[in-house]
Amino acid sequence: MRVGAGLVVMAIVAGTFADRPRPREEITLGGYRVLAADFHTHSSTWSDGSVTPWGMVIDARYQGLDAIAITGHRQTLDAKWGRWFSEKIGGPIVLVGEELPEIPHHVVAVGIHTTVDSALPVREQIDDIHRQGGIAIAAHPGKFFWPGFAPVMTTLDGTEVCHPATFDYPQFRPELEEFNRRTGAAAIGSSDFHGPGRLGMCRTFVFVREVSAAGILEAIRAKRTVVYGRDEQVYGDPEMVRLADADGRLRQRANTDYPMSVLDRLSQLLGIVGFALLVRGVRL
Amino acid sequence: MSILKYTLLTVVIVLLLAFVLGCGVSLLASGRLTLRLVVDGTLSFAFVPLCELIAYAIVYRLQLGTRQIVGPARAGHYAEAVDRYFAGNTPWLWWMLALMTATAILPARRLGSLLAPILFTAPIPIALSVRFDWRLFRHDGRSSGQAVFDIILQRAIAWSLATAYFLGVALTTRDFFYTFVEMGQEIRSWVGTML
Repeated sequence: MRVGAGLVVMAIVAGTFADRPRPREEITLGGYRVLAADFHTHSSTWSDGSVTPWGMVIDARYQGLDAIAITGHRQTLDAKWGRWFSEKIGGPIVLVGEELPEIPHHVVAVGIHTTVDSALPVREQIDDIHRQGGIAIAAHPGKFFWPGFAPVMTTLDGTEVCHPATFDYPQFRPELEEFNRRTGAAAIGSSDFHGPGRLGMCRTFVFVREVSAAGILEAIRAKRTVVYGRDEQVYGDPEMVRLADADGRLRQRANTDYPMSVLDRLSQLLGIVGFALLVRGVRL
Repeated sequence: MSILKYTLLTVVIVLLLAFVLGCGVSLLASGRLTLRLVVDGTLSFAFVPLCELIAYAIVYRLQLGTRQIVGPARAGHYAEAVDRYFAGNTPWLWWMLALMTATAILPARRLGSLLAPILFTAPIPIALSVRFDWRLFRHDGRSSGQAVFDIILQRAIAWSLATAYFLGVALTTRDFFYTFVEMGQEIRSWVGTML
């Protein structure tokens, strides 16, 4: 039992030592500052996420993100906590958001101030989001959700074209691509982070005139985004895509499957063996 | 031992389970055991052992019946009972260990593919922990019927509390049922991908 506990402690020491923020550099392309953002994330207070809002703010730094929207289900409280914390520590830009998980359409509101009533019809939801100065993004709009979005195809500001599910289910990607083509809205990559995977696993590169929440929202309305998806597929404004491809750095920053170091592997191995010994020997 | 010591023992038992869950969060979200995410995950999932503790306290109270145990002896009895009761989580811990191992092997972008295997295999620890609790409650001198009642009551309380906490304001009856629709879609997609 002591050996198991010792191994777990060593695993945490090794993992903590290996845990370094991804190197970040200011990227300017075509006169725009390029920010890496994740607009669809869930915290453990209380949106079936696994990490606290303040933990997500810190993790965003570690994943090389410049901005995140914390999008609680039908609530904005956790996003406000996250924004407050980030302002205190000088962290990334945190946009207050909400996911309206109605059936059959999930809308992500970003840049709002108060909770949007999810009982409203989808058109009125989006009107309220716009009234508050926010943007409306269609969340993981697979075919199942298309009928729900039919009344608002022209009023959506963005649609997710990269979502973690596209990496697991190949048939999902063409559905998201087709929906984005039909709406003509900005291409968005979001991790829909609940815990498993990485924050920013799918991310949006936003070409802003001004590094601020308002600057990000303006850029999305103007569709100045680039997203790298499955199989190196790239989406977004053709001019921005051309700039990004010529530069090459955004493609690198989009990948969160970075190689694990020896310390990382050691942390995993010691942790798993340590827990196996603990579970064998300890009655919790 | 004093009441304080028994209380501390109960707290340690609760924290240990939360800590294991925190380690799971760290591995899932970063691929390593890092202090910042272990602490965060422990805090985020402390509600799991707390809900279990509350539910068991109610069942224990009912089980106690007419037994006249008071003061430190009662606190000690409860702490020991909690210790034995939490041992029923062992199947879940083995299951989590398997999940952690899969997490370490798979690239981050493929972790979503674990969802369907999780749904398929979760009944195993559920069944094993029920079997464990049934034996435990029978050992405590309860009849088969009473033991079954205790198990159902404990789970009804603990799972309702935990679900309400975890899903928060998002939880509506419609969402609750839709969760099963999504699970079905998930399994169908997974089976389709496998074929």
